[in-house]
Formats: sequence, C-alpha cells, structure tokens
Amino acid sequence: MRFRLTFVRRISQGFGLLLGLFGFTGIGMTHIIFPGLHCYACPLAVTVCPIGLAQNLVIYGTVPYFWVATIVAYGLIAGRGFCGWFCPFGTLNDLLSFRKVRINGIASYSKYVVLVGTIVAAWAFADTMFCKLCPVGGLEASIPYFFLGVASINRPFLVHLGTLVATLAGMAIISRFWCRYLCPMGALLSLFNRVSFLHLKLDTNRCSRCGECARACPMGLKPHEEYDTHNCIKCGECTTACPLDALELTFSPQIERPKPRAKRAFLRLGRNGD
Amino acid sequence: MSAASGLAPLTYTLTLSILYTYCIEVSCFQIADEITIPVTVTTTAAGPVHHEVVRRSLPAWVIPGIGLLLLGVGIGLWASGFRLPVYFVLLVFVVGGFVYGIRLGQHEQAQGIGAVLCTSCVGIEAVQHAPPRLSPAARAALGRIDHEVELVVFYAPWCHTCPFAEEMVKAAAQVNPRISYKFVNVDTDREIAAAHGVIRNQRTIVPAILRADTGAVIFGIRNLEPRLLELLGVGG
Repeated sequence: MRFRLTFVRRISQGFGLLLGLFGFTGIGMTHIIFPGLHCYACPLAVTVCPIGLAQNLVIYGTVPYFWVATIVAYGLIAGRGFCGWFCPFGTLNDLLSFRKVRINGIASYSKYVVLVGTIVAAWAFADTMFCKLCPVGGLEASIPYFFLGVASINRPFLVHLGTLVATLAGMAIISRFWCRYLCPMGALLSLFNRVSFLHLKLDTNRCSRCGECARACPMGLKPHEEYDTHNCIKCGECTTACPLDALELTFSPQIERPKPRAKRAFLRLGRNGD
Repeated sequence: MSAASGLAPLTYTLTLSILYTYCIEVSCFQIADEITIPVTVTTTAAGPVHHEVVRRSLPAWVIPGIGLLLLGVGIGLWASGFRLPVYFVLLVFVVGGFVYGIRLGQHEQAQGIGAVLCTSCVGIEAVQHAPPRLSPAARAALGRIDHEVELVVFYAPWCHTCPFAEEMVKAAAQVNPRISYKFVNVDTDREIAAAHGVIRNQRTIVPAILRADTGAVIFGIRNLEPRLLELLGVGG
C-alpha cells in the first residue's frame, strides 16, 4: 500500500512532465493553463504558464475571469497537491531532495512576497519581469533556445542561468527549496489548501507523536501538528512513513476538520520532541 | 440604396440645404448654401432588414465587484465555520469565471499569449532601447543590392524588442529604395506568420524578419546587422 502511493505519485509526476513536454507530438499551444510552474516559452510546451499569463493580463489590464476560474478549479481539486503530484519543477525539486531539513516558518511566507512582487512588477514596468528571472524559464526556454539558435550567451541568458544554478543549489541543500520559499504558483495554490478535495486526514487517537512523518516530509513540516497548512504539498510521504496509519491522504470536501488538539495536548503533558 | 426602400431603380439627386449662422460679437448674419448629392437606387436584393439591437451593457466594475463580494462572503463563511457554502461559492467562481471568460474570448487570449514567443519578454534577449544605427560598412553593402527585395517584419504590439527590428529594417530601406518592407502583427495575423513559416516548434517567435522572395527568416535582434545583411545576400 505504501509502495503503491509512492509509485502512483511517480506515475502522476511523469504525466505532469509529459503534459509539459507534449509539444513533441506536433500539436501547438492549447487553451489549457498548466497546473504548476512550467514555462510556456519552452519549445515543447502546449500549455500556458499561469504566472506568465497573470503578468500579461496585468499588463493588458484584463479582468482575468478565465484565469481565476482555472486557478480556483485547480485549487479546489488539489490545492498544493499539484506541487507534490504534478509540477515538473516540483519533480526536479524531489530528485534533488537530499536534505530534509526543518522548514523556517516565517521564511516560507516569502513565496507570497514573490507572488505579490511578480504582479506589482508586471504592473509597474508593463513587462513580464518575473519571467526574466524565473529558473524554470532558464531551464525550459533559455537553454533549449540556445541550442535551437534563437538564444545566445548574453546578459539575460546569464541571469537566467544564474537563478537556475542558485535554485538548484538551494534544492540540493534544502529539500524542495523552491517550493518552500520562492514559488509564486505554490503561493497561489496554497490559498486553497484548507478547502481542496485532496487533503490529509489525521486520526489524533492513533497518532503517537513519534515524529516519523516529520522525518519523511520533504517540506520539513510536522504533519501531525500542521497538516494541510500553506506549506503542505500533499505528497503523502508522511502517510507512507506513519507506522500507525494515523495520517491518510483522502479526496473529499473538508467539511469537518479536526482541530490541532494534538499540539495542545502535547504541550499540556509537557512531553518533548517528535 | 436598394429598391426595397420603395423608390424606382434610378439615379436621384438629393438636395441638402444648409444655413450657416455667423456671429461676431452682437452682429450675426447668415449664409444659405445647398449641396446636391447623387443617389443611385439599384434592384440588388438588400436581404432582410436588420434592426440593430442596442444591448445595455453592465458597467465594467459590476462583475468584478460581484466576484469580490462573493470572495468576502466565502471568507466570512469559512471563518464562521460554515464550510459547505464555501464550496458553493468557489463553484460559482469556477463556473461563472469559465463561462464569462470564454464568452469574452479569454481562453483564446491565453492561447495567443502562450503561442507567441517574445524573445525579450521571457529573458532570452535584452531589450534594446536605443534606435539601431547602421555602420558605414553595412550601408555600403546595402547599397550594392541591385534588385527588388521585400522584407516582412513580424511583431507583436506588446513585444519590447520588436521596435528595434522594425527600425533596423526601416533604416535599411532608407539606404536602398530597392528594399521594401511591411509589418505583420502576429496577434491579429497569425495565419500569415504560419503561411510564411515564421513558426518554430509550434510557436510564433517575434521579432522575426522574413525575406519574401527566398522565404529565409531570422529571429530576434542579437547581432541583427550582420544577420540582416546575410539575409539580404550581402553579408561578409
């Protein structure tokens, strides 16, 4: 069962990569907004980057009905689950997740600063400023177009390469570094984490607070205390790690949510650690 | 005007009388003038008469306002612990947003944004703000062109790099009048871009300069002068 969840997630991530690179089939750009961070300038992209599109809509002064509907739909289905299950850049983060260190709670709000900064910069400069720094653009557009003869080694190319190298280094040092602290798409989807159909369910009666889930979490969370917070990517690694099956990944409306009693009980008892 | 208007199919002359009134301080005077307008009534079928329906459109702020109101209601419901109605509110956002957005053609807009690659927008090239200046060697090379050449510049209005390419082509045409040019907006004329092969990997790349007689295309603005000369067959 545990093996199956990880296997299914890898298959799903493979589908995310396939959708991202579906241009190899020869079909052109579609109307679909990608449920993750994926550069639409990628030569093989057939879907539109939600962040790139948002910037363009701000520049045009368009009230983004279609965009909002898409983002709310994605948020409602899985929230940040798309980060854990679908996003190709998230998959790359996974592949480089060597050190599962604890998350810095306050620093994790920086992704909202990136999101707001992206929108404000697009409005202020009437240009897609985030795209010029985006490491995904460096990986999926600058490098391929360099080999296609469209891009050359110039300042924008080096800036892209610089942000990409810095992000990759960050990922190697801190697992899911980009997803934790910098991803504007993750920030958007995280707004729906508490209402998304895909969510974690904690059985507080079963939980022994052993901390196995915290050790497995690539985002550095303590799932037995803070599940489905804005940082949770609903990857389900905690459910497979839990020896008592206290955590479960489920797909249903979050009508009833157990309050985080575990933490309060834990504090009352004065016990220590995970 | 067609015969369906009740007139026999002939050429009529309409006379329009105009009365001008000029006033200088308190003194006013008038000039009467007449204009004759020939009008031909034909027997061509005019088809059904269409009465233009004047639609009362809502002020631009109404629908976003409703959206924000719903958002406030949703957040309020969530904070109050009423979770099921929040799903209803979110579903209204999804269905309403898709229906109204698609009605406005926003899905096409999204596809258009994704399908056109502006090299400077995604940071493949730097934006050149200074207008291009042709070097003396380039001017001499351009002057050697002794046959008619047409260049087509493919651009997008929102592309920050495109003006540089446009100005470069204009400058070349000024040096040698045998070089003609035209501009094609890929936002509105994507079919022309597709027909001329200004698409690479399913994506229209702007700016692009096409030499009409050979079909050769160059993309972007990096090292544009030597590449343009090469496109025109007078490169080093």
